Amino acid sequence: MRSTDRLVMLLLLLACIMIAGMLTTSWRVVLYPYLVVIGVIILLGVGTRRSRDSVLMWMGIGVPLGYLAFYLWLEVAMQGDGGASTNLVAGVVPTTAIYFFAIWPFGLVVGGLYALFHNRIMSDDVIDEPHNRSVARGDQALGDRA
Amino acid sequence: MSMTIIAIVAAYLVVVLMIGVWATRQTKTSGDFYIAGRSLGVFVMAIAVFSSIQSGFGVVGGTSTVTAGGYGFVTGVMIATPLGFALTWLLVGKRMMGVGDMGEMYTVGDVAELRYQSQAARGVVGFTVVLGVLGYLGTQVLAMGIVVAAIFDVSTTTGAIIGMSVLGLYVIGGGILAGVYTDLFQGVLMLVASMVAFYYALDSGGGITSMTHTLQEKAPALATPFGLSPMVTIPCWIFLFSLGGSAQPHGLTKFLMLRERNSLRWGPLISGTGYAITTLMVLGIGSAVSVLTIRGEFPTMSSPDEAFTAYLTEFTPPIVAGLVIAGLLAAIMSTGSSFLTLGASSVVRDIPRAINFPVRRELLWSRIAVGALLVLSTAFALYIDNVVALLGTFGWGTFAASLFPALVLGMVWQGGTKHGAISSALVGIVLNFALEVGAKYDWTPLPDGVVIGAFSFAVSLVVYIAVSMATRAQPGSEVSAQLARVIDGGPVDLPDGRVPETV
Repeated sequence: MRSTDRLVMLLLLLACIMIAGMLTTSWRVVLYPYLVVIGVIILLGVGTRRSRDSVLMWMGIGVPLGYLAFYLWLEVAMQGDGGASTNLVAGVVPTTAIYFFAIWPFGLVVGGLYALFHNRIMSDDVIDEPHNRSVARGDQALGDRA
Repeated sequence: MSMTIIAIVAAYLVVVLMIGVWATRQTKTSGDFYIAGRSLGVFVMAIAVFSSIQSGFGVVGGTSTVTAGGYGFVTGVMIATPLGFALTWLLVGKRMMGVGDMGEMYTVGDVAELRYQSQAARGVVGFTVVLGVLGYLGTQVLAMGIVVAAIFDVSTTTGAIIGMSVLGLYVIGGGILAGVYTDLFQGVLMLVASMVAFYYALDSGGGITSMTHTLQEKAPALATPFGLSPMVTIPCWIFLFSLGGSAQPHGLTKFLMLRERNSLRWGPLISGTGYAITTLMVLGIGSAVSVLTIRGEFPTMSSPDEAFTAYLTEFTPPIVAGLVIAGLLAAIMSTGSSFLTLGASSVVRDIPRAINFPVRRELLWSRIAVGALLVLSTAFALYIDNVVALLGTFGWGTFAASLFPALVLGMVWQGGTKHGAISSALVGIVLNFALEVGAKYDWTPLPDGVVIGAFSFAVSLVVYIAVSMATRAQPGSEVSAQLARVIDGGPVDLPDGRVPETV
C-alpha cells in the first residue's frame, strides 16, 4: 500500500472517531483526533517527497504536537476557575490568554513554516510510489522520446 | 446619518466603480472574466482571498455572536481560519496551478472533470456551486440593504437595489478582474478599519483589564475563551473553518489566477494575517458592546445583530464610523463579487458542459448570467425570504462537505474515484440541507451544540474514502501519468513542450 493510501486510511479512522465524538457530545473526542488530522493533512499536502525530506516529515509531526501541547496547557489552566482568576495576563484571564497569545498565532506560524520551507515543498522531485508505476512508465516513455 | 459618513461611503462606492471601469476595459475573453487571464501576483491574490472569505456574516454575525455569547465564536471560527489558509496552500496551491497548466481551467467544474474524467462530477460540482451562490448572494443582498438603507436614509429594498446595482456594474463589465482588484482595495480598507475600530472599542470599554473585570463581576463565563458556547461546538467550528476553508470555491479558483508558482510562498501568511487583523474588529466591538451593556451604558437593542452599527454610530466619531461602515460594505461586496462570477461560470460553463451542451460566446453569456443572478438573488432576498433562508443553509458547511472530498482530497490522493466524488458531494448537499431545514422546523437529530456543517463534512469525508476504496478497481479509475505527478506534488511535465488539450 502507498504511504498516501495509509495516510488516507488514517484520515478515515480519525473522521469516524470525530463523528462518534460529535454524536456523544464529547468535545475532546472531536478536538484531539482533529489535531492528528492536521498532521495527516500536512503530510498529504507536501506530497510524496515527505518520505525523503525529513524536514517536511517533521513539519507534519511537529505542528500537531505543538497544538497538542497548547491544548493540554489550556486543559490544565481550565482546571482552575478560568473565568474568575485574579491573575490576568495582558488584561485577560489565563485560559483566554493561552488562546489569544499562543493558539491563535500558531496558525500564522504554520503559514510561516510554509513560507520557510517553500523551496522544499515546491520541489518537483517527487517519488514514484508503487500504485502509479504502471501509468508513470508510460509517461517515462514519452519523456524518453522527447 | 451624518454627512461625513455619507461622504466617505459615497467616495468608497466611486472608487469601486472606477476600478470596475478599468477592469471592464481589460476584460476581452472568458479567461479574463473567470480567472483574470492568469495574471495575478501574490499580494493581489492573497488579499483577495482573505477579503472574500471575510464576509458580512463574519463581521456583523460575528460581532453579534461575541456580544451575546462571548469569545467562543472567535476561538472557534476566527482563530481556525488562518490555520485554514496554511492548510489550503499546502493541499491545493501547487496542484491547482499544476492542473491550470494542463488546459483551459477556469472553474472548479473544469478541475473536477479533469480529475475524474467525468462530466457527471463536473455537473454535481457546478450544481452545488449554483445553490451555494444563490444562498450566499441572498444573505449579502439583505446585509447590503440594511447597511445602505441606514447610511442613505432609504428603505431596505431601495438600499439593496442601490448596493446590488453598484456590484452589478463592476462585475458584469470586469468579471473576476474587477472582483479581485476591488477586493484588494476593499481588503486594505478592511484592515485599516479593523485596527481603528479595535482601538476605539478598547478605549470605550476602559481598556482590556477594565473590560475583563466587568465581565468577571457580572458574567464570568464571558471572560473565558469559550464563552457561552457549548464545548463540543468549539472543535466542530475549528474543524469546519480550518480544513473546510480549503474547499470554498471562491478561494479555490483564485489559485487558477496566479501568474507564477513562486507567488504561492507568502500567500498563507498574507491572507492569514489579514484575516486575523479583521478579526480584531469583531472581537473588539463585540466585547465592548457586551461590557457596555452590562454596565448599562449601551442603548437597548432589539437584536444583537444591531451591535455593530449601533456601536459605531453611538461611540465613535463620524469619520471613524464612516471608515468602518465602508469596511463593512467592502466585506459584503467583496464576497458578493466572487460569488457572482462563480455562479456565472457554473451556469454558463459547468452545467451546460456536463450535459454536452457547451455554450458559445461564453463572455457575453457570462455577463448576462451575472445580471440574471443579481436580479434573481435580489428578488429572492426581498420578496421570497423563505427561499433565501433555505438556500442560506448552503453556505460554508455545504461547500466544505460537498467539495472538500472531491476537489481537495481528490487532488492529493490518486485513489479517489468519480463514484466517491459524486456520492460524497451528494451526501454533503443532502445531509446539510436536510439537517439545516429540519432545525428550522425543530427537527434536531444531532445532539445540542454539534455544528451541522462539521458533522456533514466528517460524514462526506468518510463516504468519499469508503466509496473510492470500494470502486478503485473499476476500469477508468486510474489517473493519467501527468495528473498523477501533479497529485504527488510534482510538475506538469509535457515531453515536447506542446500545450495540452483542453478538457
